[in-house]
Amino acid sequence: MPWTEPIIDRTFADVINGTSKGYINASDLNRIEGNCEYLADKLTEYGYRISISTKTDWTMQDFPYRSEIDRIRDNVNALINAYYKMQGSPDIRYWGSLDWRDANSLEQNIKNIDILLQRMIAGFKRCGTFRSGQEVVLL
Amino acid sequence: MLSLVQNPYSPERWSAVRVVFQLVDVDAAEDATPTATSEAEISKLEQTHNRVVEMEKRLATLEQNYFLLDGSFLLPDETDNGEVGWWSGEISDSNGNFDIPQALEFVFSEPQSSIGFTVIFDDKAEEYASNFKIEVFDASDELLAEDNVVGNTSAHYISETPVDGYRRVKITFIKTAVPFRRVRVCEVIFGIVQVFSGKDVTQLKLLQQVSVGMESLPSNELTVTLENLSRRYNMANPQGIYKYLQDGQPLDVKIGVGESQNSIEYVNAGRYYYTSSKAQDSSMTAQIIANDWLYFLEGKCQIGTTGTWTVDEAVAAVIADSGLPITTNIPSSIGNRVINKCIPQDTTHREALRMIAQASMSACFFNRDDELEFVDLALGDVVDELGNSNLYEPAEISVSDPINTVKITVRDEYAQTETVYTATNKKLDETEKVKPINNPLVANQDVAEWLLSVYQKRIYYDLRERGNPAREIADTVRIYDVYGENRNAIITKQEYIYDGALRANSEAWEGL
Repeated sequence: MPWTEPIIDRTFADVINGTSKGYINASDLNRIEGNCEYLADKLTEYGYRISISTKTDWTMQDFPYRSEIDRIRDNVNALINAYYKMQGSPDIRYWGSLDWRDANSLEQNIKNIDILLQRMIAGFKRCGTFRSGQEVVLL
Repeated sequence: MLSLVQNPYSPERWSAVRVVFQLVDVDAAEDATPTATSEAEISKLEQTHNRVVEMEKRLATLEQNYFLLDGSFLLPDETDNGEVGWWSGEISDSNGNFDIPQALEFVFSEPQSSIGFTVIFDDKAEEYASNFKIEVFDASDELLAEDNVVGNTSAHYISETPVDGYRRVKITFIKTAVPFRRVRVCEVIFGIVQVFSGKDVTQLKLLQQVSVGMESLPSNELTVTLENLSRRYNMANPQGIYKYLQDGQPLDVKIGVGESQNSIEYVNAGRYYYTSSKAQDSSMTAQIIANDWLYFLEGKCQIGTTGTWTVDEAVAAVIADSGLPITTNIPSSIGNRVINKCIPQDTTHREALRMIAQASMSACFFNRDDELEFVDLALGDVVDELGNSNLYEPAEISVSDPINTVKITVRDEYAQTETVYTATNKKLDETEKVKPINNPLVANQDVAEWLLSVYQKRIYYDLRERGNPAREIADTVRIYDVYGENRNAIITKQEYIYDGALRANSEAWEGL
């Protein structure tokens, strides 16, 4: 799945004013699930053990059952547990609804994992560019 | 205290009221067999005629721009979501129209008759169809009546279409009020259900009370003032809504509070029976008054005789004599108490019940479930706190006159006997301050001792407060006063006032 920029800036004003960010639509679940799948694939590629189950074909005909939303919550926690939780990342709340803060929390964690992953990849040294005993500066 | 998830005293509070009355053909609902064009996964078609007139939850779905992230939409369960009714499988298009109109149909094994039909859509989410058609057929499939609805703007639609002898009702939904929506029908009522809500109600007053020591038996009263600019509630119009309001017509009241407009949670505020109505403000508003059953218990009770019986037996006999369908809630600890049978001739049923309660050292009132409830009016666990954050003014405290002697005169007019029970705690240097009581049903000295102890508790509170719709009469609250005493007290009176916002005038007694 390709990476899609998460939405992490929902506010109570979005809810009150009924802006598009104030709602959860099928497209939002597809983005969240798609990003989870993307991160799981990347982590697997870099040797991390992670196995999650995703659904990326949500339509408005589907129902966001509690079990399905909990699965998404579990997926994000599984990614954190398999990799790392960035300091300051919000906790994920399990309850019978979903509000704008919960949606931000899910996507903020997803974004933070991606940020850490990108930093890790940027720190990789290519084979042949250094040798044993060489002094290197670690940034 | 009733259950309420929402904080009744949230700093920013939304409130609302709903008053509902029904005239329904119950047989039709029981005989109905429903079918539908299509059905969503969570739909429960059989719930469309089960006489439950409200959705249980505001369920979250993925219909376009529907699942608002305010926390008030509940994630559905895959198998059980309580009362949901019928949800169409198909979703309307970007204009709200259905490619294939969605139909809900009821067939009946016997001919049915109704004064109209009421379609209740998703009242929790305020989702409804705007354009639809109701068709009513007889046994030979001949069209008896039709109502083409265009531009409906409410989750409750009343079709004032009296029909006799119908065997099939078909409702065809053509357009939803909002694009990309299923049709959701909680209930189809074979009759009339009228809902007065925030849009119609300019003021609602709801008075609930109980008398300490049972010196009186006040009737709870509902007063609803309806906006009538459009002359919708024209009392002189035989076709108007008033034609359905008759003495004793039940009105069910709910009061709701929430932290936001979309999270208002309603609490049952009881059932009241229509007593009168009048036009006000040059007919700009219409007022409806309703009371609990006590108002109607003015008939003469002719069941008195000499002897004794239990409270359970006495209450059942008085209610049976009244002929009213009153249900009771009497704990066995009160129901088994023994009192006299000698209810004086020509006493009203209401007065007889007052005497029974006083003679059994209890208090009675109509509770939120429309039951005549008997309780020991005593302090219990604190269920609510009233202080600076929810009182508009500091609690006003008054102290009743001191009483040191209670004298109960018990006259049995059937046996021609008179007994006096006296209880006193008068000190040697005190003047006797007597509270005379006449109650022929008192069977022992304990009642005089109980009343004396009641009159020793003299502190009463007058409270101007924000109002908690979940709090009931006889509940124990803690009251923070200017003296720092912060006592517990029993709620004896609540007058809820809604005029766009909710407040309450309450009274409390320090209790036994």
